[in-house]
Amino acid sequence: MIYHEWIMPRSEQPIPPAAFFILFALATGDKHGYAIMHEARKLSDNTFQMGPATLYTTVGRLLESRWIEEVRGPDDGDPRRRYYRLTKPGKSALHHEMERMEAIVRKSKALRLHPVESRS
Amino acid sequence: MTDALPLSSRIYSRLLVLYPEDLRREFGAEMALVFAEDLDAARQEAGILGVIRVWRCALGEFFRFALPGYVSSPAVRVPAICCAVFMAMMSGNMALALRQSPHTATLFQSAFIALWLPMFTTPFIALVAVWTCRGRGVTSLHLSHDDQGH
Repeated sequence: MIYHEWIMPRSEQPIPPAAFFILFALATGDKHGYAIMHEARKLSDNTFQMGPATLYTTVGRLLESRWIEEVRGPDDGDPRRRYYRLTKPGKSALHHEMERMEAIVRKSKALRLHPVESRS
Repeated sequence: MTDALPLSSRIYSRLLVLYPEDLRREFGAEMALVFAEDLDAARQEAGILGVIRVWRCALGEFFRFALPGYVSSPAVRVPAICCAVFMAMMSGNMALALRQSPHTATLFQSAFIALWLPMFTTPFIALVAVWTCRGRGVTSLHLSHDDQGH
């Protein structure tokens, strides 16, 4: 797996939120820029706001890291749009990040720090 | 309101000129398209509040992405440093001149006293500023690699 320095200096460090939500949004299929932004907002329950500059700076770096790739869009689509797809290393990085998050939740549950359990 | 949306999109497209060149060259057209779509969707969902939210986000990004690139450029940094030093020295001298002779000095005399020192020292400060920027290897606009987390 490629751990690009900007995105993940060490393998155990978390992926930055913008990169994570872009990878997460692309996990459900190929998308263009606005669709990625919209999906990221939905996936985060509107808690993560990302503007065009954040989106495309991150997309540029993910393309450089080969975690995503540009693909051909549908023939009847807007020719100004560019579509992106999650690559194998990208899927692997996303999977790794989710496992890391799961491990944190497991630990917090074990320590009875999980918000749902502490309320009950 | 409907007229305001194309105007907003045009303003955003103009603002893109201030973003780092590599980002603008590679994704500028798409950024403008995404902004226009986001603005349209936000207006349909939440009206004026939606439009404000999109603009707030875009302006936040402008300060995070566009301005740092310019601040790191010697073409902007050197005149800014010189201007700041010039103003500071001029204000100090003016205050000093007025304090020394508050009754006799006219505004013109005070301004003359206030200006002479900065006028001679500013070129020297400019040289130091250029040398400092070159020493740090700051030569062009570039993307910051620390702007990922939000």
